[in-house]
Amino acid sequence: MVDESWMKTASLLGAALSMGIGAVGPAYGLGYASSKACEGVMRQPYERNRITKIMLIGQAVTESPAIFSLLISILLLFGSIDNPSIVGMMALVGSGLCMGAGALGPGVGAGFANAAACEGVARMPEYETLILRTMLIGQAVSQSTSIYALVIAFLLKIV
Amino acid sequence: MEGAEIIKAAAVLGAGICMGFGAIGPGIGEGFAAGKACEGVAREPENVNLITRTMLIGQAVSESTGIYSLVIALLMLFVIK
Repeated sequence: MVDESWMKTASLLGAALSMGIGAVGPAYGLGYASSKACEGVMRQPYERNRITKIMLIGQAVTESPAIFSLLISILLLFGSIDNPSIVGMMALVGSGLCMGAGALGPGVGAGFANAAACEGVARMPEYETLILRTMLIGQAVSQSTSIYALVIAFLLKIV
Repeated sequence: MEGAEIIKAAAVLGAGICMGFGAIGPGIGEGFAAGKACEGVAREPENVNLITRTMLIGQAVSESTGIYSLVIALLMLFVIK
């Protein structure tokens, strides 16, 4: 009943879900952070280097769920397909859905933290290191759910 | 058996949905907490340790729903036959 072509269909669907849903959250977070950074530069044009620096560091962390999604998507697109079954099909779709939706929340959350850090540096540039430290600790914790989603997506793909 | 195979198929799809959607809320909530903590540090830098402690306690509580999702996803993957 289930043959190679159905397995390929399921992995294509999974890849699309993973990257499609997974791009929404990080993109929103990145845009929100850069809008706050623009406001900060508008308010304190002489601190533009510090504001840009903290924006880029935070955005690198915010981007990571999108990169996890890309990884799972590429794995689903080009990974090998073994023993076709309905369980295998659903596992491929589930893997894509898991990583896609799992990247949404952490992307938005890390972007909020990054935006507030940009505002903070614009208000008090001399406390840049303290704000950076708080931002990175908070982002690391908020990132953990995307790592859980990555683990489950890997398990679904491989096991 | 066809029936057992369909149950297993539903379980693996369910595990993906469970962990995926379960990760949305904690991610947003914890990021929100981290953002407010950054604002707080920018306003009162001398209280940085207190603010970081409060942020981490709040995030740990908000993380718990993400861990529930993880547990249920693992149960669906490995326990349901």
